[in-house]
Amino acid sequence: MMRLKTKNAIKDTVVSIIAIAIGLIIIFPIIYCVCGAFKTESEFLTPNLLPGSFSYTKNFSDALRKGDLLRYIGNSFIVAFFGTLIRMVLSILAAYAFAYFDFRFKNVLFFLILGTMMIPGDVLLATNYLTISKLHMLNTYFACMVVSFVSASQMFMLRQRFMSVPRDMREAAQIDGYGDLSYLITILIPICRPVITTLFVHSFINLWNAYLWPLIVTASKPAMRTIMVGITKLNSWEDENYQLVLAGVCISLIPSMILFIIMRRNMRKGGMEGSLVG
Amino acid sequence: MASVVLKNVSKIYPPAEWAKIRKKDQASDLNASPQLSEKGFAAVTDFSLEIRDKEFIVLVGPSGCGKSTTLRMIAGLEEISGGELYIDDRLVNEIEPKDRDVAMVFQNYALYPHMTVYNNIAFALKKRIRSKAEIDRKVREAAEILGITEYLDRKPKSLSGGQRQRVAIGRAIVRNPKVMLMDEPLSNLDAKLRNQMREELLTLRNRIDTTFVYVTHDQTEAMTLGDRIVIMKDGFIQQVGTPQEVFENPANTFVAGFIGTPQMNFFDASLERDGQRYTVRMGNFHADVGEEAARKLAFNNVTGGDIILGVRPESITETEDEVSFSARVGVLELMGSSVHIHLEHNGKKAIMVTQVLGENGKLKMDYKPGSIMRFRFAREAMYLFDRQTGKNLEV
Ligand SMILES: Nc1ncnc2c1ncn2[C@@H]1O[C@H](COP(=O)(O)OP(=O)(O)OP(=O)(O)O)[C@@H](O)[C@H]1O
Ligand SMILES: [Mg+2]
Repeated sequence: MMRLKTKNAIKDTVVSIIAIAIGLIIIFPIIYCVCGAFKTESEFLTPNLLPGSFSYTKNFSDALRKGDLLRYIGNSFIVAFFGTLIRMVLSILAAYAFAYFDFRFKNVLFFLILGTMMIPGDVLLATNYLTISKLHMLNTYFACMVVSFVSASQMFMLRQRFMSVPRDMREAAQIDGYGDLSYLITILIPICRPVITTLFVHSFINLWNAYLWPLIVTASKPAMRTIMVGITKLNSWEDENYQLVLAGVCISLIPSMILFIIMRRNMRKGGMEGSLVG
Repeated sequence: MASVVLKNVSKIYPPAEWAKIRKKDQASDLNASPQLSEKGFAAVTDFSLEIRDKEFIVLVGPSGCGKSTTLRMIAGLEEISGGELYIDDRLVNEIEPKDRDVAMVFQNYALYPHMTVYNNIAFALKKRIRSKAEIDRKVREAAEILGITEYLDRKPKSLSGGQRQRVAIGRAIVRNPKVMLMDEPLSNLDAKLRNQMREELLTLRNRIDTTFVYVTHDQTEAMTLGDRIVIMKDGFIQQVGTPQEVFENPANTFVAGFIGTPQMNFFDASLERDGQRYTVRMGNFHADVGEEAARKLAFNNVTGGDIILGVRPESITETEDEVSFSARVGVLELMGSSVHIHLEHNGKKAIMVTQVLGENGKLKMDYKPGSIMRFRFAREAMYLFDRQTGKNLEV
């Protein structure tokens, strides 16, 4: 009995230590980034991790002033928010159709869509760029978002979730006088809220952090840059100033974190308990 | 408040769909089923029935006989493959469920898990009624009838099975639908609660006064609730009638065996005709059939030959008489005031029920397992069925 307990305690300790180590490795760049953002120019050249004082905020004010970061944050927000919103709407509607409707070529279409997940996004960079530029849409919000409007993986995950909701739910709603759209809005989406919120946050952070595509479609108009592109422009070859970049990165992390904290409550598991017999 | 008319309604599940289900459900080997053809699986065939306004119809039959399918076709959840369905004289084959004005109680309740009980019940009303006060009044009235007023603010997950069942019923009755459909609503409750709910359904039925179609595989529910019972098997209607009719005059051996507990006994016997007289023979036992029965047999041009003799367990009595059949007494099951006695006659099993409660309040049992005894039955208690088709020869 006693030995079993000690054995468990040892196991717990080892697992905790490993977990903490992995956690530190993951979070270290962020700690480094935050610390660096508070360093003066000369402190930055020393090997110390911690800055002299966390009250030195000149880097932040410089970054905001120099790079027009607020405008970039606004751009990023528009692109990430509306891009995600449209992506969610399209994914939900497509997932609903694949989960509930019977139509010709359903399976073929479904696998075709899943097939697009195999193509790495970067491969499409050149062709997408050509398309956008021929349509004269370079340097617009639309150009920044359009490539993210559809997501096969999100559609697939939503379909799986929808299919796990008993068919009776839809039938009960039909009998209660609700058509497909009102069923989707009043019942299915609330039931699947955890998954939908998770996908929303995930998608928002992805679009917020996107770099390459916004970089090339806004290359000729600095005012349209997103925050991720804007940060890198804080540092130029004639004026190497890494503290400024790190301050910019810190600022750019804030919106994603706020979103995550707000939505965390909704991402809990759950949904169907109590609906059926037991 | 409506009549429902089904004219030769049938449902064939296409082979593809059928194959999907079969894979999941390996246990039921229906490969050799006569319901299966290259067109698909005929779950319901030629279902014709006129349900009158405010009638309580019960569909009953063994598992897989097509009860739910029929109900779902009336609800509009399942496409009708052939035939016509009228609700209130309106052809509704192509009408969406939401426009049929029917309500349904699902076997597994299918409550909306994210809504309170109140909203679950009000949900259907919101599409039809504008006034909040009106909705509130109706929801509270329905909750009152079902005794769930105190749970109105709870979510389904914090309710017991019986309470969820009430919510499911409340959701249906609150709309005052033209037709109320119920698919085995009590099958998930324990025996005691089931009896209680059955009684409540009877009172409910008088209060809400609409047309009911009720599916069950429990014959007690069917007998107690139904104005008329529809007995189904393999997608076919076997008999339609009042509980008394189907009990007294079963159309065939299937209905005879299905209605009544314990089951009716079936013996191999022979029938002899001598003019207007018919005699049933089984071993040493023989009896002339009653006058009225004989007239019916003659009317049906029954000539005699091998038959199946059906006798209800309550009609078998012990006797000293020579004109009797002998059987070995097997297990005795004491049910309280009566005892079920398992018998074996010519290798065939049978069961008889006798009252053993004496006037002094003591049980009087003088049956010994293993002994061989003689039995007989009254001639009025005999049911005669065709050996080949199983049809009742008297109807
Ligand atoms: N979607 C479907 N595709 C193919 N076959 C089906 C489908 N639904 C039901 N069936 C078959 O049709 C037959 C009738 O089914 P139904 O659900 O009506 O039976 P039931 O009488 O309600 O039985 P139970 O008492 O078990 O509920 C069954 O044999 C079933 O396997
Ligand atoms: Mg069923």
